[in-house]
Amino acid sequence: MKVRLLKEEYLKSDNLFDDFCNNLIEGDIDHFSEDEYILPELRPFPFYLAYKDADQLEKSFMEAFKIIKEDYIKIDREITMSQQFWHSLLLVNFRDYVIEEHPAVTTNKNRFKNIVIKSFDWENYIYKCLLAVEYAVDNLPEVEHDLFYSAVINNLDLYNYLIKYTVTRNDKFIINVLKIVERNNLSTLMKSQIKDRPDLGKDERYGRRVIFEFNKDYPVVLSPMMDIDDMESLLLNHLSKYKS
Amino acid sequence: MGVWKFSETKLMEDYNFNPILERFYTYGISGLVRENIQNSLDHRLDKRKPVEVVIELGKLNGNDIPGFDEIKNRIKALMGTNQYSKETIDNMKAHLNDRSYDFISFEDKNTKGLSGSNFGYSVSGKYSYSAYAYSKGIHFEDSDKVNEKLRGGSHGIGKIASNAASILYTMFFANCDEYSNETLGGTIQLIDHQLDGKTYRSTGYYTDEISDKYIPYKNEEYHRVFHKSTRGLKIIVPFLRESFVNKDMIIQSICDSFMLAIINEDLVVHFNDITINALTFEDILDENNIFPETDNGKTDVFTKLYFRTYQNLHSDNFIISDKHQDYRFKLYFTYDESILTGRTGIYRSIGMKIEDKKIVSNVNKPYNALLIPYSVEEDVFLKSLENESHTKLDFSHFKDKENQENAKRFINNIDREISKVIESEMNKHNPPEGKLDTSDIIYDIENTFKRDIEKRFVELHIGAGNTKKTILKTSDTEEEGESTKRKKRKGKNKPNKLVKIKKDFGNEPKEYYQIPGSLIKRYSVTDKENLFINVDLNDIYEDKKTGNLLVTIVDGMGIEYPNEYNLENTYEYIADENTRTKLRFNKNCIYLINFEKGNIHLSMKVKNHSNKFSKLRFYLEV
Amino acid sequence: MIFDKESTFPHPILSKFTDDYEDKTFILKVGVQDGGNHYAFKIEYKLDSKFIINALNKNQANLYLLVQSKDSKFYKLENKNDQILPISKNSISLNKRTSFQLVIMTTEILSFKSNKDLHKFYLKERENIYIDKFGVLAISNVEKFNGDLKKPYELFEKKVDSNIKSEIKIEFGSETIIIVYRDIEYQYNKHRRKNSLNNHYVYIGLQRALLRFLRSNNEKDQEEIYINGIDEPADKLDLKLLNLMKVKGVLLLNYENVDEVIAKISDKIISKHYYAIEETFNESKIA
Repeated sequence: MKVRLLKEEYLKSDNLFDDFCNNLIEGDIDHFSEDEYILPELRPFPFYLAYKDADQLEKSFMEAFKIIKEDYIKIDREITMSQQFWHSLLLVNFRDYVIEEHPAVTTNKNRFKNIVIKSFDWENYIYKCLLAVEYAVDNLPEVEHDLFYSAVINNLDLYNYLIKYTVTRNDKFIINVLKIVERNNLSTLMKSQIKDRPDLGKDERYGRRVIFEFNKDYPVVLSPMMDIDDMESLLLNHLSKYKS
Repeated sequence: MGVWKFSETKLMEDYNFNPILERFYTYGISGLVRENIQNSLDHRLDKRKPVEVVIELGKLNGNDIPGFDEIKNRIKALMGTNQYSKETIDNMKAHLNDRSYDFISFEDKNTKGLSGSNFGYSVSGKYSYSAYAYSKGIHFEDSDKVNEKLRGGSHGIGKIASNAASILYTMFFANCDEYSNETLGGTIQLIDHQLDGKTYRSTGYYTDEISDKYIPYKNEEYHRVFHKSTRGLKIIVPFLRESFVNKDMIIQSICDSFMLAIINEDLVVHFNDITINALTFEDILDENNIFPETDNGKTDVFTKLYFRTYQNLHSDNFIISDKHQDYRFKLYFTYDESILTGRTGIYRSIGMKIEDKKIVSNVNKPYNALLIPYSVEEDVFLKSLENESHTKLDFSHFKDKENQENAKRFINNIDREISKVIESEMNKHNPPEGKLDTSDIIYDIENTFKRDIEKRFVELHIGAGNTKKTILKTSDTEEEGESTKRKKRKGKNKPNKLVKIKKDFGNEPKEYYQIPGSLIKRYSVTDKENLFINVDLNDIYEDKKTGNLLVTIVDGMGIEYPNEYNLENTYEYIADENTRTKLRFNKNCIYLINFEKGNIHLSMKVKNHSNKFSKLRFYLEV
Repeated sequence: MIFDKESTFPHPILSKFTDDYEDKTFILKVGVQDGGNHYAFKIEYKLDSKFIINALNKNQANLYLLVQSKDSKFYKLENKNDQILPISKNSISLNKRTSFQLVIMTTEILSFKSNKDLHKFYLKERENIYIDKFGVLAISNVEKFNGDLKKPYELFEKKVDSNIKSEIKIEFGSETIIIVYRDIEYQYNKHRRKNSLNNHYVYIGLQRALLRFLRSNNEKDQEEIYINGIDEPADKLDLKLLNLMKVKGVLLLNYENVDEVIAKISDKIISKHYYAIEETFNESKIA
């Protein structure tokens, strides 16, 4: 299938929203650059996953993981890590799917911005899912994939925090942290707020604070290169600093 | 008979110094450098390897200079008859008893050297040694046939350039030929003179004479400066004129005259401890004392511009004709409105620049160009047009009228052809009104930015066809990167000065001195942490005896947290090792450290090891 | 994962911002070739501390390559120079920024007792210094690939737009400073030194760009930027300015020294402007 890339300045275009709503992008060569990718058939997947309902959340994430793994993971990162590519895909190739799943994007410009042309970084659900699938495929045997995906979904706050910063946005480190949290049943504790430490600022959570401890010691202690058992005792030690 | 040989004559004929001496003197040190390096390039041995020229500028004692006593006697005997020769002779006499003398020497390697030295003087013309050693060094002027020059080897003229650079018009040449015959010769250019009742000619030769035949001295037991033990020639100019002793000017003229030879790896020059080769060339161009920048950008040294222009080939089939035929050249061309003086560098294919040619009615046009012969044929022709000092294309030295006119035509055609290019480039950049394309015109000022930014970038080309892409690489180390810095700068790039910087430690932003990591030493032994800051505080704080040190922590991405490192929770005490006293401290500040020793040396007793792996930054209160 | 910010480590390390080792260096050079479905990275390094080389040889330490692009990855390298590391194109892209660094990590507790390469300051105490397992011994320089600059060597563009509300307007493109003229006349196109005559706009353009740089790159509302202490800005124009300032040896940028910084990073644009005016003036007198 052919994905034509939008012009580099597409986000600055004044009529992007209107043209999207009126289905005028595809026919207007002014919107497009000269670049295009010819790719195997790609299926759309849940790409905006801000669900409050836990079951819905898990179901949608799992579906996204599955399709990404089947259709997208083999594609060069030059394409899959490009915001221009994903926005082109959503605005043109997957327009119908996007509107069907999120009808509000044609009526509310803010929803459009927030859902369709969301910037492609750690807050973007496609980005989150893509990294998770890539990390599983690159590092874990097939049988452990679902376990890892569950760990991501169970510890979303921690996962978000891990992929937010370059120092922790590393496949092996993230996999180890999530494994340790799961096997020590720390999920609930990690996402809960630290109440008795006003000096740390508001909304500090155990999980984030523990990761910050790893961050502070890096690269004096090269924790991402540790094996999981060494890392486990270090993590528990960091956690003990905050548990009174 | 002395060590210097002067021919006897019946009459005093030459009351004047050879006029070429005076002319070469006005070309200064750069003329001397040009002559000698050019001769070396012309006598290259292995074409696959560069010619090496070793230049040494130094001092010699009078008694280390061969035959100096005799030189003194001859000079004392000189009688000036006109104002000019009187002045010259007086100046020579004034320098006969200097404590020491400047000299410069040019030693070449990977060159042929002179042949046939063991045969001494010979009329056959078969050996270059005889032609070089026993002529006045004005071979060029003596010849009246243009063709003779085309045979190449106008080696003689360089010699008189060397005489001219010497207060006593004296030069030596140490030769080592392919059979390792090491000899030393020399010439002195005086005027006809009488000594001990005999009359002598002006030119003296430093040579032995065996059964009425000149044979060179073996090069033994002379001062080190006069030795030449590898194949090639070494020119030594003693009694070097003061105005010629100018290191920066020497480097400048090497770079300016031989840029192409150097960057094309045909020439390497060692001057005292500096090596000028393809790798160091650009760095040398950047040295302000050698290539000074002027305020208005006007200059009469165009090396930097030529270097830049040499990246832009305009045509490798640029035709300039004389009356009979076409000659093919390579033309490199830059049009840039920030250029204030327009010049065309005319080069020989050995990589030497002949002149910064002014193109008629284009001398102030904003361009720069290089004109280089395409093959030997053009090169030989160009060489025939050089004036005697190789500094200009000229026609007046042709005696034959036909040849003179032809040369004139060719030189005029250079002007004409280059003018055309300048004009068409100017039109391109200044299109006539009505046709102006005003979108996206990039300023020529970009050239400056480009050059600067390029220094940080290395282009990596990957892939081919559709997937071809160019990636720019920057390296944060000065030592490597792709731009080779000279060795002596190695390791000097670590910051070692305090930087004044505004910081907010919780109250409001204030100025502090940030201490660079390279000045700080920190280590722990069991529960004792040591901190040593090697900075001369007396330089910074004139009369302040104590000061406060602030500490911040840096995370794994380099982000700094001014209030995250808690000294109180970490240390039991902090002691000033210079005064052996314990210091007061709070969360992030250590108070009243004593500065009297100039540095800071603290030891800390650790009570809580949870901050054991922290990376810190240190600030001094201003 | 790349760490290149100046700071003081709790134990001696070999790095470009510390002086813990006597005249020793650890320098990385990366090259790349396209291998079809992968990129082949050529890793060369120069390490001249005998102590650390020895630790690598005895497996007391390991050598890792860190690669940071959209995310961070690390690869354990063989203990030999000049190796090729293939990385699949679905794991790395080069069309944005990619940084490379080497680190050397201990695999066991390591004593500095025999570390003769340390700065002489440590000589007395070195036998009492121990580095923990997984501790860092050395970090190299960073090599940065920039695949996203479309016009790497251009800083300015000019445009004419008769609809702007002012006579002249400075805009910022994705990687250039754009000078927009309401009237083409303002470009001095009739004059020979038109470019130098435009230098006053260039000056303003640089000033505006630097002020913007200052606003968007200062961490935590500090009022000045320590040029060697900040990360590469994501903005491509800012990145060009940062590179230019680094080349020109600018250490600090703040609201007070903007003019000095312009003087350092540009090539005498005001005096060129002055001479262009002088010359234009003289030419018109002659005419």
